Amino acid sequence: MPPLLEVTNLEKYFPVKTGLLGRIKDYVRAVDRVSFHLNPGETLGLVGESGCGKTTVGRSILRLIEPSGGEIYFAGELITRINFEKLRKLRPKMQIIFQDPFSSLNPRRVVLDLVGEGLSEHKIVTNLSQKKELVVTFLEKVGLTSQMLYRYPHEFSGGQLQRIAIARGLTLNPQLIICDEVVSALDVSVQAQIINLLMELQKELQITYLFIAHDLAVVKHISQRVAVMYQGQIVELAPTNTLFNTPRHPYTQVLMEAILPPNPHMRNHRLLLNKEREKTLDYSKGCRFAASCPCRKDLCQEKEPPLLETAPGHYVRCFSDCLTDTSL
Amino acid sequence: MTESLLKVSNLAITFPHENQKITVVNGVSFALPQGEVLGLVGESGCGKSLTALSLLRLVPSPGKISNGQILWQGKELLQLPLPEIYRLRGKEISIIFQNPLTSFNPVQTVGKQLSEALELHSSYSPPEVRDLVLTQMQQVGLPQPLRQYQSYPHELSGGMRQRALIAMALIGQPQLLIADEPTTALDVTIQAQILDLLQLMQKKQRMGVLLITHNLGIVARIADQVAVMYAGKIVETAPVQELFQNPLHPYTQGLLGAIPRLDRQEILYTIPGTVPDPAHLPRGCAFAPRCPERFKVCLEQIPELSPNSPQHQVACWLKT
Repeated sequence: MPPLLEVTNLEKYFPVKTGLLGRIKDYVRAVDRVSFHLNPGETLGLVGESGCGKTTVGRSILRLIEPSGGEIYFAGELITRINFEKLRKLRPKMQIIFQDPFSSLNPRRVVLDLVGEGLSEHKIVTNLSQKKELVVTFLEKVGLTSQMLYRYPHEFSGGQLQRIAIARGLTLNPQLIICDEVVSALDVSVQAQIINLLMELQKELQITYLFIAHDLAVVKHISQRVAVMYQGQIVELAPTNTLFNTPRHPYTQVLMEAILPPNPHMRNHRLLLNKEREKTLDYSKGCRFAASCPCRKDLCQEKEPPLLETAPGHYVRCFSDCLTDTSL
Repeated sequence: MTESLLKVSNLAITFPHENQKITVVNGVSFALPQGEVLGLVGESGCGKSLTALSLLRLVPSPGKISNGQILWQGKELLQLPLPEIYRLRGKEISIIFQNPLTSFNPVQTVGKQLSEALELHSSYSPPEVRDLVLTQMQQVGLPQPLRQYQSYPHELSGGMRQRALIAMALIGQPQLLIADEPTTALDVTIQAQILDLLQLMQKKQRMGVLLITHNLGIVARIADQVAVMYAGKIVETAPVQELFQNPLHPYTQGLLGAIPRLDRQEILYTIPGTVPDPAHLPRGCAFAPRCPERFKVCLEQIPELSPNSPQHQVACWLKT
């Protein structure tokens, strides 16, 4: 099966401006040559810490942010260069759900309009009764009821609002949904409900997810493959079990050690690396992780490692292999 | 067990709402021995932060502490006049809040803000204060204390700010540190570092720590004793090993089942329904409407926290 989404060398540079005249001093490489693909019906987890560029990747795919370079193919069509009209026709097939439903849903509109907006906008429904009927079916799909049609966002809890946001994303029958930290703002018990819901919907409707998150346990639970991002680049990409059983990039290993398992027997007391490094050192040429890397070699500071396939489907951007080094 | 540093009994906090009073924290009791970490866990709105704030009499208006007793080294905090409380804050009891950026004054240097507790509570001379602050900054792992001393809060990264905040809380050598979601705003790798640091400092200064969090992973990592809160009440309390191995309250069991685990891959357990509105609490056990094992008594009478074994207390009709 051909991939549903193919991203090659995606780049997004943000200018850093200085002074009164706003001259461009430098560029922040928020996303730097990111490539991956998504197969139909699968979930790819995209993890990394704040500022690593994972959200920018998600938004660039929908062209909510215009990428600075690279190509994005959606269902075989190159969407980075098509005009706005064509893009608009494609947008129903690609949806995004955001982290905070309190700010992503307009507080002055009722559920009927919030969920039904896409339906009216793309002329799928022409009158109110049709719209109501369809909106109710989608509300029921996400576990809400028709009694909620005329309520405003402030009348709901965080978990219910996130369900509304999901219903809104589903109405246009999308093939791809980008979930940008959709469960991060929720309480544990509600988070479990939403994760289960997303997985059920995927099974039922064959939706493909790009699941952006910082919580590795959540990502492991929901994804078939996982990509780890660090400072704008993918440093490791592998099938979920491979990545969690044999993480090869030192940064991935650090992330794994930082997980706090809900089990007091598994308190690990390994000292983590100190990320607050000296800014004066020049690491601009080499590997971006070199400054904090426990298994840095000389080569790492001089040359940037390429993303290489070390085992089938397992891509790593690293010169040294830390895995065997247990003294880490 | 050593003697309790802090003993809270029957604490209740109420807020006025539309001509009635809503009890947001209702009959909370716990004890914290010296040098131990007590994790207070619960979901948003369960009253855990208010409980913490009440210990320093910081409950925001119009909320009121309507009942209870807070014994701090034999003193009854709720009866003390406010100036006495001011003397405790930052010296005997310190608090760390969730967001380090809003906890600092943005227009004063970090060093000046760190010195404040010593200037207020001790008779050190300014150069001595400065030395003490710099030493403390070094102890919490700030890479260049001199530089960060002169920095403004916005010039530090999130992790450094949280370290500075910890330094600020510890500078007065408090016997109790209240940490309210100390790592929620931080990245996972920084979170682990900050937890290690908190634990190190706790052992070094033999402080009691009251750790407020919604994250059971954090509790599993650094707490000695755990209290689980639901809708303004403590529903279960036990030593950390015991709680995770043998959770008795259906709510605790539900919470533990709802966490995605690295070592298992199955459908997550979900607690049906949502947290009740404190203005319309059910008549019986507050958890009963969501409880898979409820029976008749649960809907009619509120269960009290009672011992199931000497160290393990639970408020559930099933277990009594």
